[in-house]
Amino acid sequence: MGKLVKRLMLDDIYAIGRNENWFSAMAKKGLHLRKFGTLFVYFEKEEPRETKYRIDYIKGKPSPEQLEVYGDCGWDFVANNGDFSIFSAPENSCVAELHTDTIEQGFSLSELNKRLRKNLIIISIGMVLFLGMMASIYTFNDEPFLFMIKGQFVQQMLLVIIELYVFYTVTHNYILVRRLRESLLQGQEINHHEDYRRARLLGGILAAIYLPLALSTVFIPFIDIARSKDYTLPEGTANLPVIRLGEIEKHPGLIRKTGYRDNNVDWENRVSSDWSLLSPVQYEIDEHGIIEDEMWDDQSGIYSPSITTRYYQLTFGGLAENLTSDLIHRYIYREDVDIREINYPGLDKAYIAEEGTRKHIFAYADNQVIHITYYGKENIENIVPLIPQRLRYQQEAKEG
Amino acid sequence: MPNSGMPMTEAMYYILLALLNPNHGYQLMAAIEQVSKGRIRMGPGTLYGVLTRLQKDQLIEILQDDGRRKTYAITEEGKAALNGEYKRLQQMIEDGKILEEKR
Repeated sequence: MGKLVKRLMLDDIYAIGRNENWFSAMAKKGLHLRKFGTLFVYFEKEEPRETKYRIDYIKGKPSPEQLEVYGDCGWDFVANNGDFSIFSAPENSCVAELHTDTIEQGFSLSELNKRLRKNLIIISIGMVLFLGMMASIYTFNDEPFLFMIKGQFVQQMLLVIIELYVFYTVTHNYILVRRLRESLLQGQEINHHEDYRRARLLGGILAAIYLPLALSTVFIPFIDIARSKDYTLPEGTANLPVIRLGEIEKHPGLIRKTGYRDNNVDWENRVSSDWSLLSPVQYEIDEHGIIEDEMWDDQSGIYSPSITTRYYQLTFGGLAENLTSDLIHRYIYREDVDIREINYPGLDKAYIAEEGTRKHIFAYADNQVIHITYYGKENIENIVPLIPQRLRYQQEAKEG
Repeated sequence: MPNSGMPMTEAMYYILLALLNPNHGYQLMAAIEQVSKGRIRMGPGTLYGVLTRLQKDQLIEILQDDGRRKTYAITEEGKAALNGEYKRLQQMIEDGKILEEKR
């Protein structure tokens, strides 16, 4: 037995004449068809032979008796996949054609034609539902940019492209079979020497675009999982785009207030990092402190300030403004809060807002967005000057 | 029956005709060649395509299936369709006689 050689299918099996011609051209080069599937075709390397191939639509597998009759007529069975069977005969043999009646051959495709039409209807409904769902996710979302950056936006868009490709294939197949059936019913024979090169080239180009996209939709979630981690914020300096409580609270008695621990992570003092294609560096960092000999101003208990920093480095700086307004919408709970825009060198834009002891800074510079929520007595405006150097540091770390 | 009333294809007509005597696969092809006096050499793809369709339309039936080979026979419904077609063709020949008169 000769060596098996694998080739990509690239064309639809429904393009009967084109595939028959391609198989013949391969046989002329010494590659003889042995097996075919949806993606791959297998050839065996042997002596070149002039061979003609016929692709026949036979519901289910042909019966042994049927194969015997085909064989007696000079047509050898080569391979079968689904409802398609392929037969071959030497090119110069004078065996009768497999099909001697085009109208009957047209009738034999009726069922396939109906099935493909049903597929097309089902996939069309599926497409409408799928696209509607995708559109509604972003249309009815109050914070679409935040959702885009935190969620799997890129992956969802890839899925849309893949869905469109599947839709194209199903439509294309239906049109191919319908045309073939109609031309057969009008008495036109299948052209067994139809040019296959253009269709295979086009199929190759589409596959080269579509396969990497399909693979990336599989791999992106893994990168996301691999890149996201939770760990306890170190007490000392950390190379993170974060404002520390120690920089805000002046009282020397400030100590860390630890909280619930799980998997060795202190959830009150936690660094949570994440990744997405639109924002490859993301942090959410919590820090809680306590000052034993100081009370909250309303005497409600021992003074325990805390700070949460959310940091996003974006792939496209153009998203920074929209993300900032989504963050404002998401994290300012009260509607009557006064959001003040302030100008500060080193920041493209900055906003501050106070809801009692819960105070916010939203700021961005270039492609970096930061949101700080501070619970405490200190003046929020005193924190703003700390931000540009933190963003600058991160920028330098990235460039260096 | 999708074909009722429609003219039969030549393949369908001759297969029905040949199946007046129950027969199977390869011999059926030989029978068709015989009944058409050698005029028709039917391809095996056409033969099995028509057999599948006729069976679905209940114009023929499987008389015997021993696992290795199936013996097909025409049904009453098939005979009626064949007679109808025969009459239609006869009528066509009848009508075509003016050709000879004009010769």
